[in-house]
Parts: sequence; C-alpha cells; structure tokens
Amino acid sequence: MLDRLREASLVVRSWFQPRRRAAVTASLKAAILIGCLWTTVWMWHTRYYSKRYPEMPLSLAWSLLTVIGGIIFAQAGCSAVLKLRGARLRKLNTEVRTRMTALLADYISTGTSEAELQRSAKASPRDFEICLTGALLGSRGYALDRLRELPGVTGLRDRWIVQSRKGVTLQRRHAVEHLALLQDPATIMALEVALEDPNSGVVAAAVRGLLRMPVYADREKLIRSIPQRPYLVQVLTAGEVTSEELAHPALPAFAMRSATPWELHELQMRAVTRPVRNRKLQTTDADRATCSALAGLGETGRDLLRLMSAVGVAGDAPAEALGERLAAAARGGRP
Amino acid sequence: MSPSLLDIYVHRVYFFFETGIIVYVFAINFIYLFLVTLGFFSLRRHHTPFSAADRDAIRRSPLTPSISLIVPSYNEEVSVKESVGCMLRLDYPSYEVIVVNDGSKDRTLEFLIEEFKLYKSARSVSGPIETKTVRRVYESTEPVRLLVIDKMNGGKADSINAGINAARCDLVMVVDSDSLIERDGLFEMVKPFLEDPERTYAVGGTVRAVNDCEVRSGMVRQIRTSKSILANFQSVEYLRAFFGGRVGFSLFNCMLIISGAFGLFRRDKAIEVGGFEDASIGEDMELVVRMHHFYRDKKEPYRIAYVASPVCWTEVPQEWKILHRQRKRWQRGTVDSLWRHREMLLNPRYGGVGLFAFPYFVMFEMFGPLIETLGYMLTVVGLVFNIISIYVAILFFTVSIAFGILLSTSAVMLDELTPCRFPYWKNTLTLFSAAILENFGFRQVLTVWRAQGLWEGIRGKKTSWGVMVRRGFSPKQAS
Repeated sequence: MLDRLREASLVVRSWFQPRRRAAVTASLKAAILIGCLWTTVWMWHTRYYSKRYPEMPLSLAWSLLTVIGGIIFAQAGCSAVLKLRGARLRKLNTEVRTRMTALLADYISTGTSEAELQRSAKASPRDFEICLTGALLGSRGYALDRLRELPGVTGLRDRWIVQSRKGVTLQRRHAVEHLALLQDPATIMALEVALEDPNSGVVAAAVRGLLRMPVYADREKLIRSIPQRPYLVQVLTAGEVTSEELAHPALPAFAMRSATPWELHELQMRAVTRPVRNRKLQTTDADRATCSALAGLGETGRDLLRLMSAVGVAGDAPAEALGERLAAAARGGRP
Repeated sequence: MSPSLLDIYVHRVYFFFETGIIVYVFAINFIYLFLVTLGFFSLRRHHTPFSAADRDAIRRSPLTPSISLIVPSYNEEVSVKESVGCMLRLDYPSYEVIVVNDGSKDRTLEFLIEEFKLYKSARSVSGPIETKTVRRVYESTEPVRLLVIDKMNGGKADSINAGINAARCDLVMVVDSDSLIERDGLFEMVKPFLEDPERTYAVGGTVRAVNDCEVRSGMVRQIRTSKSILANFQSVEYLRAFFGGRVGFSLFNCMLIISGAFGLFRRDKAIEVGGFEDASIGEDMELVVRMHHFYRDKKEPYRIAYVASPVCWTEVPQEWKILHRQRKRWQRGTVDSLWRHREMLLNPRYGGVGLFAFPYFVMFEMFGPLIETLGYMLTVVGLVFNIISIYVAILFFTVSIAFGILLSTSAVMLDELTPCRFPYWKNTLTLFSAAILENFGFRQVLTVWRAQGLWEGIRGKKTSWGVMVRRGFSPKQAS
C-alpha cells in the first residue's frame, strides 16, 4: 500500500517537471487557438453561409475556405512585412554598428571620440549595447578599464543588474553574461544572486563572471559548489575552473567528479595529461618532449594534444607539437 | 431483392464510407494542425541557442562530450569529398569523422584516399555489434580526425554499425554522405545531452533541402529556394514534417523517428539496444522505436529529443522516378518498424508512445495513404455514378486540400522563427506558392506512392540502399 502511494506521489510529482509542464502549457495554448478557429468557422457557417447555401456541407466548406483563406493571407502578409522590416533594420543597424565599433576602438586606443560616442549611445541605445558587449568580449586589461570608465556603461550596468533579476530567461541570461564580461566588482552581488537562478545558462554565466573577477573572495567555495550544480553548468564553467585549478594546485581536481556518462573518458584523458598538467604554465623542455611523444602516438595522441591545447595545459607545447606534425604531413611524412 | 432496394443499400453503404473518410481526413488534418500549433508555441518559447560566450566556454571545456560522425556511403563519388571536407571543418572542440564505404562500386574510396591522403592503418575495427567483414581501415596522413572503413557490402544499417564499433567518442552522429551540416550545428545538437546527460539517449535535428542553395567550401553560404518546383515542394514538406510533427512529438517524449540523415545517439545506449537493424528498411525509425520499446520495458527513464535549430542540408530528388522510389522505401520502412514493434500499439505499459504516438503512426502514417487514396477514388466514382451529392464531394475536397494548404503555409511561417530562415521575401513567396500548389496534384501523387509502399511493405519486399542521382554541391559539379 505504502509502495503504491509512493509510486502515485512520484507520478504526480513527475507532472510538475518543467519539461512536462511546458508541454501541457503549449498543448493548452494550441487547443485554445484551434478552438477559436473552429468557433470562427462555425460562426461563419451559422450566421452567413447557411443563409446563402442551405446545404450544410456546402455552407461548412465555404466557412472553412473563408477562415483558412484569411489565415493564409495573414501569414503571407506578416511574413512579407517581417522580412522587409528585418532587411531594412539590418541595413540601418549595420551602418550604425560599424560606426559605433570604430568609435569604441578610437576611444580605447586614443581616448578621443568620447562625446561622439555618448551622442551615438543616446541616439541608438540598443546598438550601443550590442557594440559594447562585442568590445567587452574581446577586451582585456587596460582596454577593459577604459570601457568601464565610459559614462554610458554605468547606466547599462545598472539596467543589466535589474534585468538579471526580473527579466525573462533569455533577458536574464544576456544580462548576467554582460555583467560577467564587465568584470566590475560592483556587480559581484548581482552575480551572486544569479547563482541561485533556475536556468543553468544564467548560473554558468554568473560562475564564469565571478571566477574572472580577481577581487572575488569566495572563489574556493564557489568552485567547490560546482560539482553539485547541473551538468550544463559544469560543462560551461569547466574551462574557467581548469585554469583556476592550474593557477592554484592546492584546489582539488573536482571538475571531473560528477557522475556523468562522460566521466570515465575524461578521467582517462586527465590521467594521461597529468605529467604536464601539474607543472607551471610556462612551456618547459620536458613539456615539449612529452607533447612531441604524444604527437607520435597517432590519432589518440593528437586528440590528447588538442584537448591539452584547448584547456591551456603546458602552455604552447601541445600546439607546437601539433604544428610540427602538420608540417611533417605537408612534407609527405607519415605521422 | 429488388433493384431499388439494392440501390438504397449501395447508397447507404457508400454514404457510410464517404462520411467515415471525411471524418478521417478531418481528424488527420486536425491532429496535424494541433502539432503545427504546438510547434509554433514550442519553437517560439524554447528557441534559446547558446550565446557566443557559452560556445566559447564549451570550446574550452574539458567536459564537452566528444562526437563520432558516422558517414555511411555507397556509390557517393559525386558528393563524398565535399561533404566529408565540410564535416572536417565543423566548429566543435572534440569530434572525429568515420566514413564507412559499404563496398561501393564506383570510385568513392579512391576519391577519399586521394583527397585526404589516406594510408592503410594497422587499426582493427571490432566491437560489440556484428557486421560484415571489414576489409581495411584507412587513416589520414594529415592531422585530421578522419577514419575510413572499407567493408563488404551489407547495407546502410550494417555500415552504421561498423561505424559505431569503430567510434571512440561518447556520442555517435549518423550523417548521410550527401549532406552538409551547419558549421556550428553540433553545439546545438549536444545541448539536450548537456542539459540532461543521464536521460537523453538520442537527439534529432532538422533536415532541409540544399538544392540550388549557394554552397562554397562545403558550407551553405546563401539559402535559396530551388529552381525546381519538385525540390520546393519537398522543402515545404520537410518544414512541415520537422516544425510540425517532430516538435510536437518531442514535447511529449513520443518521437518515433529521428532522421537517418542527422541524428545523434549515445554510443553506449545504441549498443545496448543492439545497434541499427540490418534487416530493416527504415533503420533510423526502427532504432528509435526499439529504444522506446526497450527502455520502457526496462522502466528506465529516458528522453529522445528534437532540436530545431541545428540544420543538416541534404539534396532532395529532382526527378519523379527517384522520388517515387524514395517515398516507397520510406513507407516500407514505416510499415516494417511499426510491424516489428506492434506489441506497443495501444499498450498502456508504453505510456504516451503506446497510447498516442504509435496509434497515430499506424492510423495516419501507415494506413493514411491507403484511406486517403480510397477517399479520392470513392468520391470520384460516387460523383460519376451520382451516388453522392456534389456538396459532400466539395466538402471532402475542401477539408483535404484547404487544410493541406493551411498546414503547409503554417510550416513556412514557422520557418520564420528559426535562425536558418530564408533571407529574402522572394524566397518566402516562392515557398508560399509551393505550399499552395503542392496540394493540387503533388500531395495526391505522393499519397498514391505511399499506398504502393504500404502494399510492398505488407508483401515484405527486400531492403537495399536507396538509389539517388547526385548533382553535387558545387556549381561546377551541378552543371
């Protein structure tokens, strides 16, 4: 009896899974929309066509044709309007964004164009936001400091902080990603709040943002919490975490401890790369020798080298070893 | 029995059948409409692709699952170089390409050896799934992750199984050798595996027609509608099948088919169910149905998902003869897969699959063409012999054709919600026209062909590789 009750409660609980809830919501919406469609058909039939065509099949056929024809024309019209509008906006945006990107580059390198940039930002704030995030994505050090000093950025930062809490999922994710790119200590609190977000993409962006922040104090605690988070968060933050692990060898190798289908494969990879993984980041002769030996192991070795190169292990040695193999292949040698 | 009484009986029976068929056509269109509407709400709400920052993180992540792309090929000398080249240029941090040459009679293998500088490898390919003898394994002298397996002819399923045996990655993707994958398509394909790694066993993507699109360096640079009306009809059909049917079924974890041209599976799970079935014609559908069957029997929670954004571009037939053969083969595959797993039909043990998806496929996908063909024939005969009223005939054709048009145009409209939409309104207009025109002849012809396929399927015709005249992707080849 208890087992059955437990089973029943499990079934009921499973209905509240987000995916099933989404399916039920979408079905309800679809049913309502189709219901409206049929009501319209029926109204055409009873109020108009049945008077003109006393034969029911004929009247129903005309009603159906009228409604379906109306929908098709509306679809075609909407599609054409969306397309033309999209093309026009794309053309305008391309011009504005090209100009704005040039101004931003100018501002970072020479310090001029600040006033003009501000004017442009006021005229088209959306384009400014897009160009700024593009610039943030590719900027480091001094350039990043310069961008943070821009007067418009403070306003944007505040807006992103609000959006990171109140927007819909996509807005929240964009807002947190932008805050993460900003690497501004003033955003730490907002990013910490985002760690509790139900969406994995938002959480991952927040983790990345916090780990990139040199002044963030709780990084070890954050790193230790990652294996308990959803797998998507682990994947999206593993790059940052691996660099962190290399920088602070005292931290445990936690990233691979999740019980995922891919655990074994990655652990094997790590075991092979361990000789060079725990050394300092600069490339040494020993690293070069190890990578060269790995390159000689055929496809498996090259896979490992690509992995090492991707996670930044052993500095440039993996890339150099791969390059040498490439050159050897180009000369006609067999790897 | 007096003739007048016979006449009355004939009329009554005829009326009964005609009404039944109208109700059937009405029901099938209603379900299609429901699925398309579901697709609209689902695509609009759940289309959140990875951002540039996420992709960057995935590229650097050591936890990103690796993918083995398995490309079964048989007499594909026209397009194999370009499609394999395209696959080697994909933007994904960890993947390998395995081309399985299934004893091609043309120069497929020679072209591959020449193009990718292959050498005979000492690597042996053996695995848990039994396949035909592997003659030789080739690897590239260039630092590309390419493996070519040359084996005895054994069919498409056998080739894929050989690929699965040779695969060293966690996920295996089956791609047709006449197909081109979007450069960043793999990111979106693995998304369901990253969101739910324990339960996601298979994921299907969208397949679209590449005919007359601008293809350069193995990538689709400009999406265009085709000059061939037949290809455009099929474009609309593909949109309807993917954005309508699959999105809807995927929402309820009831998807019974993942296209053989673009499907991603967990390797361990594909092996656990025994790989692709050699004797099956529709090996792609059969594997998915078998997965449902197997894991529902085991009471193991699983998910088979569909993602709309990653696109695989494939050449669709531009000749009626080839299309005829293809559609008959597809229908035979459906019949074969459903027959093999008939135990699931209306069986509550199989949940939504047994109670909804399976009966839907049996009623509408398997027997649908037969009933629809019968409907057309009965209506025409009834009209000729004055058995049914012209008004009933008008209602039948209205329901059948007007609904068909609505479904097709809605699918074209759904395309606007995806990132791979046609860029110019002229293309959309062409597609809209095709969506309307395909309902006056083309759809009816397909229905008859599918009915033929159903008959051949019931008779149990043997399996073979589908023959397709390739035009190739580059303009030079096409000309």
